[in-house]
Amino acid sequence: MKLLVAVDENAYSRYAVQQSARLAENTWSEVVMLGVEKNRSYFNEDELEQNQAHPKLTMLDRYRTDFLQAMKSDDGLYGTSSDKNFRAKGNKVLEKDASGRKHLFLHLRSGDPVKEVRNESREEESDLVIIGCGHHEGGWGRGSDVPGKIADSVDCSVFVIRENFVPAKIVCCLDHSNISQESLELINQWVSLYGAELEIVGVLKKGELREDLEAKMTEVLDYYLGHGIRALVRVVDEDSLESFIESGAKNELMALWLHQRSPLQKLLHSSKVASLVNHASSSIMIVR
Amino acid sequence: MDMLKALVPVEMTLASNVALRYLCQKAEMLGIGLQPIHVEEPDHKPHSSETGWIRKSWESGLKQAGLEEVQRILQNERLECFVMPNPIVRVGSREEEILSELRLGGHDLFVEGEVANFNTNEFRKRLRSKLYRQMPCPALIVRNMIYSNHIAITLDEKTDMNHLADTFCHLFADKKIDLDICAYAMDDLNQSPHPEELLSEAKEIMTKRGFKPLKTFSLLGSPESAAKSLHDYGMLVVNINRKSNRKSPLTEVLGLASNPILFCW
Repeated sequence: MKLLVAVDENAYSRYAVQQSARLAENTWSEVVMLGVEKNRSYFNEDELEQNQAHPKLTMLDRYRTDFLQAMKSDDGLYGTSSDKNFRAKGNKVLEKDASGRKHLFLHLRSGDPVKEVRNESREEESDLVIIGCGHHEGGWGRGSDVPGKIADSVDCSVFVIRENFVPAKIVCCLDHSNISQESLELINQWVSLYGAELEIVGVLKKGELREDLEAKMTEVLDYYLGHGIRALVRVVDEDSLESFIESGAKNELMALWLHQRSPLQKLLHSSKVASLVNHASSSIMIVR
Repeated sequence: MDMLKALVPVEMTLASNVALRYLCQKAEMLGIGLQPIHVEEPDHKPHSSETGWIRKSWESGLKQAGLEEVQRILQNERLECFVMPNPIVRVGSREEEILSELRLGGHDLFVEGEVANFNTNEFRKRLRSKLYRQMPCPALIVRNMIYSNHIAITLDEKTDMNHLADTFCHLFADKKIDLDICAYAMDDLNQSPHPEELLSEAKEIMTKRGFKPLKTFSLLGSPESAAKSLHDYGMLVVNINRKSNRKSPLTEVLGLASNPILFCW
């Protein structure tokens, strides 16, 4: 699995890094940690030390230390030496290779955070973007809705994780039956990491649960019960879905299975996904 | 004591699948055998309104298809409990056919699955249906596969505790049960009788019948928070007045709960 952990300088990013480390350790993921700085043309980079010209490089180094410290075992999965420098990768990215047996790269890009996270996830072919978020506001700059926009615009799965979030329950909403094995396993990972309860929620269309969706819910339930995971099932009316997601508690993770043809995708298009992510109390995972 | 008979609709649905598995897992605790029933509901196409030989052969075709479906489902589930060898297959209205079988077949329990809805209207509709109002035996609604064998009798001031205890003892006679008793109220101010009084009466009744509860507790607060507090129980046992159309806080709790619910009416 390829993880992209997008970070800024707020405390929630540190928390997101620590949680990413737990997932990475369990799944042996390849990891890229990405910082994004503003475009600046008013000074000459060559006249300054690298860390002075790009202060966020220090931030990335600090998060790398947090990442390694959050791992329970120290078996060289990722590199522990920090003596390498950042080098230019093309003309857009500054990169430090901190790999061990698995890849760990620190990347710094400049520009708009939403575009740069999207570009990075495409170029690195990430499977999951993890991004920290504060409670009751978007974070990533005053009045910004960056996490929501990222959740809406990238092609892969996105986990918007709120600070100090320890899930007691993972609530998975599905309205279509094209669910990949990878996404099931991704949910499985989070359930196991946190020892959380799982609830599978089917979305009713005009009061009915479609036959293929019902069959998929049975399959998903079988999968989790077979893994010894306590899984509950429930349904929600399409009309109440938005308020249902918003009502998620701080200790819940709301996971939404979206794909291009999904009615959920239509129901929660663009601004709605962004708004849900930014205003929900719970952490949210968009599973694609 | 003889094995009790539980009538269970077997259908190709998630709800039926969950109910079958739960029931099988609890078969020993309940001391029951499963009697599958399957009702083929005719559509409104012309062939179903024919009479005589045409109708008879059309109905027997439907029955045969129904029987094959039940057998396929039971085979796929590989249930490890006692399932009566001859599934009952009927053609007609699901509600009417099940009700008639419950009246004539001498079943001790009716069990069916239901996928809980966040909108509790569906649950209220079910309780108000002819089937639920008129069935002659207790009913178990299974919403989830919960492995715990811990049971909570959940009552409010309208619970007929003696009737609940009679039905409970018929089903669980001679079984060793981990039982708690819980009295629900939105708040304990101006409650008459007070939840503590309800609990002490209920404890006395159950203890006299040989089911001493491990714990009794009052549960106060909104139906949402009460439903969450009960979520670890493998079964909630209740007695509600099925003749009444009024919404009660306890039925709201039951509507929101994820647990299987045994109605002792």
